[in-house]
Amino acid sequence: MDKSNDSGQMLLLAAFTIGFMVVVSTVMLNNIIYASNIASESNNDISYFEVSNIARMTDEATKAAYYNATTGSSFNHTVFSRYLENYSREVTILYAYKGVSFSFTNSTLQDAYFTKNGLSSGQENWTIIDNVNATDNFTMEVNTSNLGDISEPFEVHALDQSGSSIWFMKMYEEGSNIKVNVSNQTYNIDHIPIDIKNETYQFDNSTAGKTYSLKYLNSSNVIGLYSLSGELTDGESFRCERYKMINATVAISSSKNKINVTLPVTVP
Amino acid sequence: MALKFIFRNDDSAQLHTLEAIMAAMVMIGVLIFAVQATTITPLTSSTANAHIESQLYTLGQDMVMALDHSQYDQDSQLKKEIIGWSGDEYVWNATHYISRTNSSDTISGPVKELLQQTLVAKGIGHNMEFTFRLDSENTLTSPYIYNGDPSDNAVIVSRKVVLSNNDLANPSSFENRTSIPDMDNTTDFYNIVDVKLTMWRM
Repeated sequence: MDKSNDSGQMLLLAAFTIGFMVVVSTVMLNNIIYASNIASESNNDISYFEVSNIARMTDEATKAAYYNATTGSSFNHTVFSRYLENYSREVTILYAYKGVSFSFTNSTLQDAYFTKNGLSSGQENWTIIDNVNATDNFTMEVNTSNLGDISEPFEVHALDQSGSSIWFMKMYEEGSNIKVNVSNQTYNIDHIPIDIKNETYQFDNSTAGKTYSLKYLNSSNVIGLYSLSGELTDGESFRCERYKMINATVAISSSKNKINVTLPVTVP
Repeated sequence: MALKFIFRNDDSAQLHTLEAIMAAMVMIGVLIFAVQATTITPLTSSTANAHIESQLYTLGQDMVMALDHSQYDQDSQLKKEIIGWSGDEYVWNATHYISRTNSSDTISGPVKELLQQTLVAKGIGHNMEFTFRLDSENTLTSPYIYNGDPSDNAVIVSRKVVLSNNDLANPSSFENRTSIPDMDNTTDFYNIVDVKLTMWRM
């Protein structure tokens, strides 16, 4: 066979080779696109967003149930439980439409620490509130059993916007007495609850006309309750209270995932 | 002068032409296959849609999460929006969300501003609906903001908000206005409203 007759087969062979390479690269590209699409859709099950929504609703419902159970009289456990049962039933039905099962159980009321989440292991140095213009009420009632001595006192600080302390109170146990130290003056606590805004503690004098934040230090040493209210710099009123805490346990499960979350909820 | 034609018995030109046609057909077949193969993606009409949906979903989640934030014993902006709802349906008229029944009734506040600054500014179509249970068997979805039917690649972000009696100034008036009923007369528990934000690229 002479040379001119070979060129046809060579052309055909080259066409097949190029075609095969294009097919292989196309299939590989398609696999990459398919895999990335599957990956981008994988977050549509129980996402962090759903968990955060459930945590938020449960926190709000527990606080509202506590408020309902304490309105007008002492704590009514029947009202509290019934509120949360109704809440649980409604959320369960709403999530059932999405193919997700939901169950909710709550613990009994417990004494709360002054930490950020109310647990002894919670963050003990934390800011209660920022951008305060004026505090109308600030009281606290502490349990002496956990209060530290003078070497590790519980501290309340008012900080200005540069972070400098403009007022602070140190609280500790000495013998069986509670003592507080403000501006190097030490006072015995005779009355419980402690009214921080009492003239003796110079809170108003130190904070008047300033924008400040309130911060707790070493708060894992203190069990008790506190209440403060007032006005923010934007004119909005605020109220921060903590009397008790409840552990709310939520179980969420879909066909793929199951999540159990226990949320410490401080009330009211 | 007489013309002289010389005929050669040679078929190589025809063979070359035939081979060229065959090679071209193979190449065209491969190209058609390649174009068809790249459009095979899960549940989407193009390769880019899954990523666009994912971006919209994240945007929507961030928006409703920010609106549902509250602190210091205050109601979230999303809850305030539900509590203040007149029960009407609102549409965007290029400057405001106006009521379908009363054009002087408009939405104002942080929810409107957020929707305007993010979705309207980016040209993203959006609807907002409130879904709630009417009784033990029935659920109702009421449009709050309606800007048209969403496309096939729309995404829905939903955020549930718990309502209590003490959130509402007048529960019976609220129910008459919005049709959101009190699901529990024995306690302060009122209802749960599922706020659904539907978004799509136009």
